Amino acid sequence: VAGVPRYFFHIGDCERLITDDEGLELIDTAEAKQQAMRAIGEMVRDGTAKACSGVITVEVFDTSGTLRFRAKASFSGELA
Amino acid sequence: MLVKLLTRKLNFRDSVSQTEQAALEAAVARTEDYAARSDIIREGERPSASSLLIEGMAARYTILPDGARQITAIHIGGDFVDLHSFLIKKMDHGVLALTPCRIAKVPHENLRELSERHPHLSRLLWLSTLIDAAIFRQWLVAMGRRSAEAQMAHFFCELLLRHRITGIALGDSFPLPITQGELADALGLSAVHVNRLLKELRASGLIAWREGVLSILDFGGLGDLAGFDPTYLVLDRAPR
Repeated sequence: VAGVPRYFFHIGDCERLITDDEGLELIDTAEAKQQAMRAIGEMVRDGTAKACSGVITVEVFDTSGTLRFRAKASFSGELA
Repeated sequence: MLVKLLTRKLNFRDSVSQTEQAALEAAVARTEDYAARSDIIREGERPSASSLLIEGMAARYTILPDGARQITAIHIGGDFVDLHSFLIKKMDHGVLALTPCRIAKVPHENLRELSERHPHLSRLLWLSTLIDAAIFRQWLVAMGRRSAEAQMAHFFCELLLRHRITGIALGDSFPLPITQGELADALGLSAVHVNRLLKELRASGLIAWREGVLSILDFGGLGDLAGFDPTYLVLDRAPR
């Protein structure tokens, strides 16, 4: 749809970088930010179930390839 | 015949007689067509007829005050999307056409008559609402306790079996003409996470999703990932 901005979400975790070549049509950068933050929360939930530490990043690019938002979560747990 | 897919579904679990099939067909008052993304039933409505989906894909959904939408069920041809409205009366959720949908409207008075004259058929319709409930339970378990990846894998395994039961599946492929955003709303996940999970399932050679058709390339592998046990779909034929 013309006029609707598209954002690309590249996801990195301990194991790999998953690049997004399809993107999502969203209203604006604020919505892209909300999407990125929700996604990172969900991925931390899955990550903590599998490992006791990790770093997950979500980088949001616009169609011109400019980085618009970066979310990062790291988690760790150790015996006291 | 309008009730062909429904009859196939019921016949999969028990034997539907010619008389029962004719009674079902006669209970349909009319058909209605809905455009994709239009409401078939709105929350709060009091339908006077239940809607049997003849063709297309529909979703039960709830919208929260902040605008977030949760799809609580996906329906395919042969499913009653609101058989429960016959007894519950006031809809506590809406039903949305995900694709163009053809609906057969079965007036509640006809359902009442069916239940009085055809107790066996009535039990089979009861069974179909019990299977709906079993599917809700599995979605709940998946949302609460499975990883997002396993939840998605489980969803695809379930949809394939449901399409096979009504004969709509082609081999291990079935129509899934919905957007990633709609899939995200059904799984209760963000669209970004869903996009990532789809990529991973594709890269693992488990699924392909092209032009509205979902193909399961390795049902065993996808089932293992999901921890899929189809018992809840009642796949055995027995007198009910």
